[in-house]
Amino acid sequence: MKPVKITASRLTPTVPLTIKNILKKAGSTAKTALAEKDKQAEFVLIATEDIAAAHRAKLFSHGFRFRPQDDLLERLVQLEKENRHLKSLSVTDELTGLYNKRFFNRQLTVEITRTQRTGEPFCLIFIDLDNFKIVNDTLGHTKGDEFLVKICRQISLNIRPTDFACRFGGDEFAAILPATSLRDGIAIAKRWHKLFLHVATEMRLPVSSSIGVDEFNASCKLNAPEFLHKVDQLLYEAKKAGKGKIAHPDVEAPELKAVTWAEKDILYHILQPSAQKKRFRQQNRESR
Amino acid sequence: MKTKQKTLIVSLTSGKGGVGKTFITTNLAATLARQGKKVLIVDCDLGLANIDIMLGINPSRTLKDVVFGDLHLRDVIMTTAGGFDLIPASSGIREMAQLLFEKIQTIKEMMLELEGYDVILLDTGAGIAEVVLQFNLMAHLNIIVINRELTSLTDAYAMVKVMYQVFGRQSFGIITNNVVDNKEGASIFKNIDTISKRFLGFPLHWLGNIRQDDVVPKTILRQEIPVCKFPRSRVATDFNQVGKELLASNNS
Repeated sequence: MKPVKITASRLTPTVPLTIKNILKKAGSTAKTALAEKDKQAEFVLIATEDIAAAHRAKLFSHGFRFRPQDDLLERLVQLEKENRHLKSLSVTDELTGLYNKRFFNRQLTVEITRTQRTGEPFCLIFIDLDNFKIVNDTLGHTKGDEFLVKICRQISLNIRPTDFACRFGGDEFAAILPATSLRDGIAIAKRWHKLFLHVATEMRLPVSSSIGVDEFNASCKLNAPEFLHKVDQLLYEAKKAGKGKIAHPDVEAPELKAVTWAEKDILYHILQPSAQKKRFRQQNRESR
Repeated sequence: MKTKQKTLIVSLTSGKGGVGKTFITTNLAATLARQGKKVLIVDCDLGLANIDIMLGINPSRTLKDVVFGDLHLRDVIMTTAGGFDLIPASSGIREMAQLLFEKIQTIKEMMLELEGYDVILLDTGAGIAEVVLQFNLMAHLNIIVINRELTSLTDAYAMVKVMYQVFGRQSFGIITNNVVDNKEGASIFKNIDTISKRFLGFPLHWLGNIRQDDVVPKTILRQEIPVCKFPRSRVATDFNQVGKELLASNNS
């Protein structure tokens, strides 16, 4: 006898869950079903949706046995849970709970593509801790790890929800700041720099941070590894300049780009009536 | 042997609005067409396009069908009474005013694929928004339209400065529009030229004056092109001069 397949949604409370009804749904009767079969025949009921407890009790009373290992739904949920857990493990750093290098590399490519699409720049921050090796060597790895965990807790608490903080391994960190210009990126780097210093002094450790920051904008033609290398070079410069420094490309203050008074003065020179010109000059002098 | 002719792409821009970019674009196009050139205008003021109003036409397909449909730029080209071709845009569509960078790049790429034109004129919008800068960047020459207003001068200079600082541009053409006589135009140009030389370190190229002419407001109200309607008028003479200067500057 073929297994009878009935979806649970069709087993409504108005239709009593009896062998007769089940067979009826399957387009058969008890008599014909038994006639076709020898006496050892088994009825197999496959429920494709979850069955309510009352229904289940009813089925038990008809002699159906329920095998938990066959409960597909339960197993699916469990697998999904495990899957999610494994996925999160594959992108997070074990010690600190930040994202890991694998995730970072993937996200960097995503952000580069996004910038090329939208024209909106993003920033990349590279952080390397100074004197961290000394801490590990003199006070032991436990103390070092404790420091790292504390710092990363602070980062997770202070980070903007759209930013991605990653631990590259050892005492190296990186952060991707989507939709952020270089000016803002530098401000954030400074904030983190202070945060690191704060935690270090709290724990009485001689640790500081060297940071490299750069912006990726729409006119940038580098690919992910090239851009990574560029920021790495900045970090190297910061290290070379002495510990506890932040290195970044020059940002011109927007004020410097504006049309200045001196320029306007000449621009209007010929057009101004003399009285107005005089007043203009005076204003010009005052503003300087 | 037939060689592929090089298309001269020229953008008309100003910084300030209302100085006559669209007026100059349409009339310059008509003038060049009368001089035997194959000319195309692209209305690059994506959010508030109005060349169609100047020409009194009602285009069925516009740039919007390229951006949001699957048409190529060449599918929306239309011929006009002025003897030049036009790619119209639509007015009042908010989404067009804030296009993704990627879409602007696509439009630019399609523009470079257009063949058979001697000159392509890009009529940009006012302001120094990224879209405007991108279209200016694409053009071989940026023509900056100014008039005698102080704000127009300042905005024009700001545009020159931005294009120089951001993209390193150093060649700009200037058209002085709506001036009383040649002397006024010359002195306005001298102002902006002096300051560019002194603060940015390069001279500007003066393409000429468009003097005031009574026929202009009248024909514009009737949605006609002044240089076509009155080819012997003062304004038509001025545009002839500007057109020759533009082509000469390209050949030199």
